[in-house]
Amino acid sequence: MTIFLDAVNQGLYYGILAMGVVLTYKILDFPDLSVDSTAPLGGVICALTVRNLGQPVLGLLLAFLAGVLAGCVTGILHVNFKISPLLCGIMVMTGLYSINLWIGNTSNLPVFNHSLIFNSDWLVGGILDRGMRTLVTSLYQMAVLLVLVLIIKLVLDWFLSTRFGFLIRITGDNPQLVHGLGADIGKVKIAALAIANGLAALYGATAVQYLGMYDITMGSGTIAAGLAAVILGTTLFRKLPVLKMTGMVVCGAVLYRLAIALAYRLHAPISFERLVTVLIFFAAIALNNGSIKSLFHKEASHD
Amino acid sequence: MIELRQVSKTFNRNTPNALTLFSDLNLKIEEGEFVTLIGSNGSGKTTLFNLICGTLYPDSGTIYFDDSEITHMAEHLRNRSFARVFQDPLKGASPSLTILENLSMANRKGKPFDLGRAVRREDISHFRSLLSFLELDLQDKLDTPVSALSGGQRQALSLLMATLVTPKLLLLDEHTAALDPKTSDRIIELTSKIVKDKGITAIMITHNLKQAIECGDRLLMLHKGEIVLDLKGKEKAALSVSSLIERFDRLKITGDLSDEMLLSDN
Amino acid sequence: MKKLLLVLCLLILMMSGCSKKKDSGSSSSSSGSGAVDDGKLTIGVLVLMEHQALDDATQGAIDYLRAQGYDEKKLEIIVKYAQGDVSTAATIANQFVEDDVDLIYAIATPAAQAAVNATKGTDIPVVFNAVTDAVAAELVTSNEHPGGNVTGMSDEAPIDLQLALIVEILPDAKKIGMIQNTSEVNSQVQIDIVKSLAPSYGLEVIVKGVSSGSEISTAASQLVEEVDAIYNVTDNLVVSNTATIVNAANKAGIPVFAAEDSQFDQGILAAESISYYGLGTSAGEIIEKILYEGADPGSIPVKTATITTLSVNTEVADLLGIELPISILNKIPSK
Repeated sequence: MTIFLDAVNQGLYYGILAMGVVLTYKILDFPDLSVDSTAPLGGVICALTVRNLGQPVLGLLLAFLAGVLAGCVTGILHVNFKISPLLCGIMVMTGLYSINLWIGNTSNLPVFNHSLIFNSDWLVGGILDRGMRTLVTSLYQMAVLLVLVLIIKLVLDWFLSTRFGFLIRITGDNPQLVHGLGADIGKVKIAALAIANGLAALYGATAVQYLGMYDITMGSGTIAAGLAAVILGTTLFRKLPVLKMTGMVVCGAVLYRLAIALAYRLHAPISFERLVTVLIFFAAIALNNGSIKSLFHKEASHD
Repeated sequence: MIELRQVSKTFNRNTPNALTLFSDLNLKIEEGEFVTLIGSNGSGKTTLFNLICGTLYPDSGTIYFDDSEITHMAEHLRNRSFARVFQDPLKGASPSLTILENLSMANRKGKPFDLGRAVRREDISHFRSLLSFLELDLQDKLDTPVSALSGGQRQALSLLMATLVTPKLLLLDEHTAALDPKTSDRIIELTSKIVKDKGITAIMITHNLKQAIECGDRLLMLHKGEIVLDLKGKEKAALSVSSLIERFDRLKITGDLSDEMLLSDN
Repeated sequence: MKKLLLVLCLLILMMSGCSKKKDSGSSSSSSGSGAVDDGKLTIGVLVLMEHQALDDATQGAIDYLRAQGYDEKKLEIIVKYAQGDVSTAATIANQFVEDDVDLIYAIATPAAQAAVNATKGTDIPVVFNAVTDAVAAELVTSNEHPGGNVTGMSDEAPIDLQLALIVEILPDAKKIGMIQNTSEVNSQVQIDIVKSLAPSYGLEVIVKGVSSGSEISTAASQLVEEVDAIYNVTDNLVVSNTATIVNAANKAGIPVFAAEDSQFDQGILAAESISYYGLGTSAGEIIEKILYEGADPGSIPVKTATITTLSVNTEVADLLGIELPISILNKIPSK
């Protein structure tokens, strides 16, 4: 049960990242690699706030703002200096790594002994049964995460339904029209990148509080995880438009972490865990888009 | 109201491929004029539009709009007063948004795109009546994504979006060239009606000589960056396709106009 | 519909996996310290990643415990790797807690932190290994009196002995070079110590930082031009890439010294090394004390390796044209 709840919880905060990645990768059509460093940026800012000021919620907020700043840099590199999207992301990702090291002054900052948004001592203090304790702790963490993710989703949904939000959507599929409407496409791109990286940093901050530590290695693989969540989510849940794209990618993120946990559960030989995860993705997507079914139909027609 | 003074433009400057398109071009278009613009490929028609819109800047010379200089003004700022419909029907609207959403955004042109609600329910009936006027059965498809529409429907929508908020200047860049003859005629019909009803100043590039003669009240012919023909009023009305072809021959333009276009008069 | 079926399948698999675990002989959830028990005891071993040094530390403890007579029937040892990923480490640690293991043995700093985080509020003790500074990692309040339910072995190398070795073999050396993995906190800790001790041995330290294995070749080629010797600390990345560093050093004709022994045959000249296997054995002793002698983890001090072994490679010395002083030659253990 714990491994299942843990996977769902991790999926929820990966969902925050996914909502940022869907904004750049899918809506804006801008593959932004900088999240590999903006996530740990949020992590280190949050860790420092928690350790030095004892303020976990403020830590989340400052992390978000730091991410917004980083996203602006990526945006300015692209809009004002005319550098290609991929290269902008790589430049920020590389440069920010050094800055993250400098900010933290170390590559590892523990926070588990400090006040965090996931502190459930007040709730579980009286419970003696160990199994019950773990269960209640996990459920409390899930409640906190659900509230956080829901707030972010609703705000993002509202934002994407505003005129400015529509401009972001138009920028992704018809930039010429943005010019035609008389809007400054540069501002739109920078704003979208700022929000997306703010969300990536917020993901990093939430992860740090959930895992109890900041370690600079947490950043690697961020964009891959984000893309996996976005693609899984938009492919498997597209028949549920009520979720909106934001909801779809959060579900995708949860599914992603569940798949990894499942690969673990199946006791795959150690080094093959990642391959097994990929096979699970493949099965999920192929089953969903009917390509396996059509494979069988072809066989039948030859008989 | 739009004036070009001594405008020059060279492409690939300082290279062996340098091509001087315009040198010392002067052109003045008055408010309310509906101008048709013809010319062979490479004569500079689209470049002229690009200079007016701000997609390109001239190498020298000045461009005025309503007596203020706009030579180096940013494209998106000019588009607050101008509108342009492209040849490619896919360029005019956002394919992932619905008709309603596209129209809502077009309706906001000239005003800031802020955090207000993009789609307002109270606009729906207004949009519906405009769409039914197009007579392309779009009035019931407000919630259809634009990607599901045909080329002709998309171009009609583009035209509607471009003129929803009446622009000070409308640029039509061969906007029916990619459509079949029947739809093309329909779009031209709509274009003329909208331009006339709203009194829009418009310039229309076309390869169709029949369209060029029948529409509008002024005809310009460009050849190698120079205006070689500029007819208004009675002189324009007296034109026929064959007389235009004669003039083309006289200017020794060959092979740029396809036979179908020349025969469209018959 | 298909998607829902898929998700349901996942959930069922998860659940069935869970109940299986609970049935297989874990002690009842309301037991106290879980130390001395008639039933089988379980240790969950959480290793950050597959790596020679970390594997040695794991094996050292396991071998010690088995040699002490705690065989599979009495003591179940489950080993899991986190693939270098902090999230996975957290998941594994949580799984161990749910499975109600009697002790978690965590190798490397992020793994130890994950274990401590997961066992908060429970009474499962944690023994760590391959953590250089346990206080900075907030695993213990002090090395002498850890205080909580956590203790272990530090892999802080006896750096003064190693610097002394360098000076003994190369009395004219002025500068030593080090490659630092900026992502690993253990590395930072040790390099800071080296920098503070080096001046008293008449040495200046030049450090080049890398963040991934692919950068080591470049960093090493530049470093060897500037120094008289290279010194590798117990940094996982640097140790894994010993061969690359030795290659660059050989081209410049300078020797490489190491702080631990797992990569010695890659061409290291000399090492006053700690042994990760030895650290593992010491950890095994600590585990035995906690599980079978009822010792309180909080009062077991965190120790560093006490035994070092001098290893010298005479062939490498010949290759580089270094004349080993008699004092060293006398110390080499005869084969």
